Amino acid sequence: MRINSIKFYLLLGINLLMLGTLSLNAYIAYHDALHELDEIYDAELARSAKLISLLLSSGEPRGAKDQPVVVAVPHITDMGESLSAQQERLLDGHKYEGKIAFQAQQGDRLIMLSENALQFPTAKRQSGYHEITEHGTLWVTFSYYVPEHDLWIFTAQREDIREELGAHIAQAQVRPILFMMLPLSLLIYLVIKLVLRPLNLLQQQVADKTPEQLHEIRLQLPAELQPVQSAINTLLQRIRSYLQQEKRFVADASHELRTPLSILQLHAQNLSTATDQADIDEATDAITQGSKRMSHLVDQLLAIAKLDHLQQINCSSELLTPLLHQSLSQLPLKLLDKVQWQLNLSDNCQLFGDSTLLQSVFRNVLDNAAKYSPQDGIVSVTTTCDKHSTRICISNSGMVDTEVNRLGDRFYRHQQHQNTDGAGLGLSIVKHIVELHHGSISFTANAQHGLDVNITLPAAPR
Amino acid sequence: MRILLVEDDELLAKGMITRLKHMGYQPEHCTTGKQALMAAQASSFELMILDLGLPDGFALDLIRQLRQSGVSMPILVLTAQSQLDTKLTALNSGADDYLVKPIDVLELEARIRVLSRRQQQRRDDSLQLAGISLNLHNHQCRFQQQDVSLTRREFMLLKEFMLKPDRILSRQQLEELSYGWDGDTESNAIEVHIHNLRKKLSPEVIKTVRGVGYMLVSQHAH
Repeated sequence: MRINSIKFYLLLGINLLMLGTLSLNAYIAYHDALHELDEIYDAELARSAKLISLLLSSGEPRGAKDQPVVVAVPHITDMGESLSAQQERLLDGHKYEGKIAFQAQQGDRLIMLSENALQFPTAKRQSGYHEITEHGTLWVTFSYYVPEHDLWIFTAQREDIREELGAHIAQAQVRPILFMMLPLSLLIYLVIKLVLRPLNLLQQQVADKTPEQLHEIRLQLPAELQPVQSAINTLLQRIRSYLQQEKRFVADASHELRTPLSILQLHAQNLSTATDQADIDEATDAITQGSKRMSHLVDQLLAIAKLDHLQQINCSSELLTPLLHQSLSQLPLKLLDKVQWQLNLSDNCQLFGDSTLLQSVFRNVLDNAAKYSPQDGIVSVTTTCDKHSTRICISNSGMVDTEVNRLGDRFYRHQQHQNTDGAGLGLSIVKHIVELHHGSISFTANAQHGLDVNITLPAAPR
Repeated sequence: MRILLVEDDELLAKGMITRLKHMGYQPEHCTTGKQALMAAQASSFELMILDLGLPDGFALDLIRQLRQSGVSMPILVLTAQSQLDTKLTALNSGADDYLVKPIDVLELEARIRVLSRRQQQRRDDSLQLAGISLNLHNHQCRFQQQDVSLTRREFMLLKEFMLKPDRILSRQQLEELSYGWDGDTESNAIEVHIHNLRKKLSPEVIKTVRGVGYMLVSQHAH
């Protein structure tokens, strides 16, 4: 069992609690016992004093006039020595008798005292209970005055005897529970172990997971662990889809990167063996095109890498309409002429963002909209805005059966447009920039078999 | 025999077609898996070169479907992915070999030859028949210990005859073989090549079967 474990803490906690309860219990028992004993003994002191006074008042003591009478009592023993009941009950009294000492004084004369009162402290001639320290020992005394006979009766008892007795009672109560501690904590350990077994099972299942084996965990678990299990399963599901996405990315990336490389290599080899001019032209042309494709791809990958590491963007308030006009004017003429543009732009729409990055977003989306439109198709740009956000909708027609969900994935290209220029990184860059601006972008297929691209961007600083 | 090339990238396909033609093969080009399936079912090919990264995603299923329908032509898979599981999936689906892009044409050519050799149950690349010795690797041809120089189309025709001796090959078959689907053959192009072959080798080697086609006679009288 490790120190830093629930099992350890539970065991430690329960044991400490048990010990604490026991100690408190013992402490209370001891004090209660002490209090009760005090009362009993105090009463006894008073009763003894009264008894003696009655005895002395009724007749003359038997002793000589000058000599006080000494009453023998059993010797005081330590409470620690355990005596059997028979040993305690003596023929001529009880061994506890010795705990009470007494003196009787008439006027200034000591007329009677118990044997154990020889070392009796100087009594206080004042009625009531007193605590007197004599030779380092605390005594509780009771003074009783009978005025008719000018008689002082002093009874006294050593305080430590009371304490000893109190401790004895408290110990007797706590000892059996103390003996139960060890077996009890062993039992508690076993119960904890049993209760925590499902946790161990769950831990084992999670530990056994590998990137290839990320199946759901299905254990019969107690209610408290079921949410944990389903949380783990959700996480596993997320990891699975993330891994799948990564795998697809690697597959797409290697296809996009290796195909132009293949083109370069193949045509270079063809060029080295070509004999007629047509073959030479074909090879050089292909090498030029292949390297153009490669450099476009590298540019876009670098742009993505740069965006990936971009933490902060330089935001400022911008007017949307001029930004859109600028982006449009940067499109290749061929594309500008290809389709009919319908602009429904609200006046004075504001944007809060990095104008350079946002322009590349608009350029990219407009470029795509035109590129994937039929000749003379319609591309419409509609903007709306309120105080907080600005929305731009760019829609085209004619891009059939789009896999809308995969748009924006790196390297995704629509299968019917695989031969269109580009590597499928543009929308992925767009998505990234919009996210950097805390905006959102969505793609929905429209009724004209085209695509609506909805971009929402903040109109003002958050 | 022809080679079915299934590759969606135009530039890459163009280069491969040029190369394969130089190597003495007649490639037919498809850009999607669906096209390739129709082509493979319609006529026979010596081999298929298949790019796994097809836009319609129909590459592995194409292999499976072809194998299920009993097509046994060797399939050489081209893939951009070097991961083991991709290769394994392709091979387990029924592909015979794979090459990872970027490809080296010399390696591609060698593998094509290896696959055809295995398919035709030959031990090496040299065909020997009726006193003719034809090396499929370096395209060298010898007839009765004499070197004979052949043009690309003559080589393709002779190779086909030598692979199928004593069997009649129709004119249409031979045209398809040496010019492909969209090659514009003149009506007597095949006759010209046969004539030249007879001139370079011996008149009796290739026999005309009137109205049917031509046949290479393996045991002709000297």
